Amino acid sequence: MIPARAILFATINFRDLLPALQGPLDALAQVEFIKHLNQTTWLFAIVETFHILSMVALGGAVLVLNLRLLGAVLGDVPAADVERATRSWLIGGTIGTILTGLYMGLATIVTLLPNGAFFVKMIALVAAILLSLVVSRQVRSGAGDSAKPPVFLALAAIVLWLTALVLFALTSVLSSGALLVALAGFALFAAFLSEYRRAYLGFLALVAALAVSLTLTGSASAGLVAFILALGGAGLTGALEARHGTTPFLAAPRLAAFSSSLAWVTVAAAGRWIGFS
Amino acid sequence: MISEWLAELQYRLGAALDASGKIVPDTSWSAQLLSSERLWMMIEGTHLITLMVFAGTILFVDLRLLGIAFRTTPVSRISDSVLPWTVGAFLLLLMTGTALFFSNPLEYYHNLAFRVKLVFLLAAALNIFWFHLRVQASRPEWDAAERPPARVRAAGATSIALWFLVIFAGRYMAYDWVTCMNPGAFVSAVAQCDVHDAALEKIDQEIAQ
Repeated sequence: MIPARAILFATINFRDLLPALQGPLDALAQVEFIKHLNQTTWLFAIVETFHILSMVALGGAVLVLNLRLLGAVLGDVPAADVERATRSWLIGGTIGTILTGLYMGLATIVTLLPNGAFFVKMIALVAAILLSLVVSRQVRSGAGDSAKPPVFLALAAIVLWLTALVLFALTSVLSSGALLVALAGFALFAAFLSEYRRAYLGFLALVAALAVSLTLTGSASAGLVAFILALGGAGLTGALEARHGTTPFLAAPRLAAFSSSLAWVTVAAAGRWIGFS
Repeated sequence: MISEWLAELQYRLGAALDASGKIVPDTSWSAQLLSSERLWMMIEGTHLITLMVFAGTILFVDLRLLGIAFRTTPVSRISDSVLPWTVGAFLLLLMTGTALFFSNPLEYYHNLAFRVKLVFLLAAALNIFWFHLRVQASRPEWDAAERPPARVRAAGATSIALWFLVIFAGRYMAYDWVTCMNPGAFVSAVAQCDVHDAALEKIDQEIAQ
């Protein structure tokens, strides 16, 4: 009998979900310009370095703007100024990441189509770009805490994050990625908290330490234990903050910034795990 | 001397010994970390994601020093607010980087790209010290300037260039041809592959076959 995890891993990838893609993409991979990249180690390393550098520009722009909206940095600089300063880097970084990613992706398409982490990365990438656009638009339009929160996109980001978690957790070679993506997501949740932020982050650090020590002892359920504990901590502090906090708990800019950061973290982690699988 | 010590670290520390006192292969802490499916990946994944936070935040501080981004915001407001994130991320990078180095210390020490990366890291550190000791003393004069003076811009540009080179060299560490596995003459000379081979040969005699 085929184990459930093998069925899931076999299903969630582009090769099995969209088999029609295989033929044309394989043909494209045979174009000399693309084949050359796959066969030239130093060139691939250069393109990959520019991929990482584009991600640094993109990640920096997303991070600085989102942290500002979440109230963690540059509190006395108007959000519109931060958006203006980061905009061209966000656009340039996104274009650079996609172009270098496309070049590398086409060169190694044979290994990417059956790869579950690649599937998660592509879906999360679309969500992350959309969410970053929402964040920029909200800031440019001067939407404050009273604006309508982007609930649908936020839910989409959370569903993607959970999908990435499940996919990673159920795939033996990717399982450690689940813990990392989970902890990153829960760390981001701290941005919603103000009065209970320190207590929550302290608790999360303990959960991370527990998860690592359980992993070291060979426990198979380290990630699950950490997830349940962190979820409980987030739920409890979130409820306390909503009741006692001074600012609206799920205000629009915060929710958009949180969701965008979560989607980008999913993209980055899934991207790294492509290489591990 | 260093190589022999690193070979001991890589092959003996934490390793099991057989009845004749020889090291049982692949039982040292380094070997266990390198072969651990989950822990090594988690440390490496954390290293890379933290790199984005570190490089992404320092990029905007440097862009302000260059007078390219946040031109109307004083330098001090950007650096005081953003740099704590950069420093926090750097500490996590150091921790995860040290753990990754520990997983294969002798090989990393004799990796050409790792040596190049260390040189650029050292240069980046010197640039930071130089900035804090010499350039920052006059900050009140240029704090609010849209385009800071040339020496401030030079420090910002040097910082961006050096961190770019650190990342670039770091990426190349993964390739076999920068290691002592099958080195060319240049790699062999710079990575001191003769010292690597001697240290490996010495520890090999203490490992059970």
